[in-house]
Amino acid sequence: MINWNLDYKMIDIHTHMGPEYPIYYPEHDADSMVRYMDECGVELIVSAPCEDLFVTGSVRRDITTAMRTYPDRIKGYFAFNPNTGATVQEMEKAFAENPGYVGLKFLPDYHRTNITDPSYADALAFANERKLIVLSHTWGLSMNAEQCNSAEKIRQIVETYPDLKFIMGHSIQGQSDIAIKIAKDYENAYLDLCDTGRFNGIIEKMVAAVGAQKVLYATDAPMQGYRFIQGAVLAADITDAEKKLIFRDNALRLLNMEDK
Amino acid sequence: MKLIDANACIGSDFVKHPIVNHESFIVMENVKTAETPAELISVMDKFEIQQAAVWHRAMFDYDPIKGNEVLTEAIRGYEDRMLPVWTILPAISDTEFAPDTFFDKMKKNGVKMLKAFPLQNRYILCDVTMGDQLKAMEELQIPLYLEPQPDYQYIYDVLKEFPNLTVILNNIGIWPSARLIYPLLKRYPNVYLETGDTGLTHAYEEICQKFGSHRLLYGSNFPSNSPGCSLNCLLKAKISDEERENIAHRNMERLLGEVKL
Repeated sequence: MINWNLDYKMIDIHTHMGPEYPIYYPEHDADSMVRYMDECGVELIVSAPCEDLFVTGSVRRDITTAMRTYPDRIKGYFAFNPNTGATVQEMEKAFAENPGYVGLKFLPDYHRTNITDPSYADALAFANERKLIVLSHTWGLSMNAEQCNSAEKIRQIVETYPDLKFIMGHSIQGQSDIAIKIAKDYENAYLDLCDTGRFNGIIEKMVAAVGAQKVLYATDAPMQGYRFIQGAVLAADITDAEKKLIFRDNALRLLNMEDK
Repeated sequence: MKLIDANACIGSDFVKHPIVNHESFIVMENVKTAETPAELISVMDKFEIQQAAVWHRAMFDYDPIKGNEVLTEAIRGYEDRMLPVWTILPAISDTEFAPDTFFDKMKKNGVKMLKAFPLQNRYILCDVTMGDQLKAMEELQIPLYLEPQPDYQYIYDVLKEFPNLTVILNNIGIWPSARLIYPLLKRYPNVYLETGDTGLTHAYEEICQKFGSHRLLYGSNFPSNSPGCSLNCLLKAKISDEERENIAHRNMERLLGEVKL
């Protein structure tokens, strides 16, 4: 019998905010996202708004406002676009002014720049020095038939920067078996269930291979609702304790909020 | 609540499983398949799914004619739990699908639903290619599963020619755009959406409000997806019990009841 309800709240480590070009999803601002979090049992999200990822230049209005308005519900990623860049000084200032920032967000496929390109080096060094989270989009092969964030590049990054906490967004979709191997080989590499968590049997495979402590609940909200991937975890043939690690405890550990 | 899964697949993958990812292109992944009907039944039992519309990988990976035979043979003895879905080809080349014999064959084998994979099988689903077949399917009200590969254009085109065709949109990817689906739901009352990939915020609520709950068919899109994904969304959507029951089983029962074979 599947237990569809939990007696604790979840943390979604991979979300966005605001509209994005490919699809229609009208509830995308911070207020509506928090309302839907309440509906779906999600206590906290970590977000990289689309305006920071897709608008040229440093905007960051949505996330800074959201983190100030909902300090206990929304944390932020500093979105780093290697084409427009951000200096270490700019990142230092942003993190000092906005304590809700917990890490960096990369989108190598969309920014059409290899994650191993030198344009990422300063940002990676910044994150490594401060032991920050780096959430990077990872796919084996992208929609542009490029491999900006494929497995061999991700392996290189987690090996070169051992002190940052690297979340493999989408768990290198298309190469997820290698992502699982990377999560097993490198202490600082984590599997992210965004989209990929729906594949039948993959959660059980991840947990069996690397342990639930390396697997993170993640959705891409608001482009995707919170419940779809929740359903895959709730129905997975793993223990309740493993589900709690995935839904909550691993994120708290990564966010240095274990006392919560 | 009774559940009929409108979209499940049996059979092992030829290489890996092709999955429509959130940017609508295909990724190949290893998923846990149900090689046999018994394996699918055990999945259905876990999720308390009473019946499933079932197709076989061999229809896609190997050949529609052989695949239909493989499915028919495989599910013999499981007719109370499995609703077979065959794949159709143009009769102008593959004469086994000629309307005067094929639909009788469907009836004899208890088949009431069809799939078409025009991209995979290299034809254009249109009046020029197979007008007699599509006309007959309209008249017989045989549901036709179509997936938007490589895109929705051919679905728009075939519905323009055959507006009374019963179409079930499926395997749409988990970022399904209302910009592509809503126009079809608005224009054609006989277009339905199978929910296996539907997890957008308040998607069930909005579709029920705009088009009515009778336009959604609960589906898992197994084994691309764990059945838990869409089922969790259905169970917790803020819709009435009546609407939930419609999606869970009544709409599929109605569609099957309308088939005139």
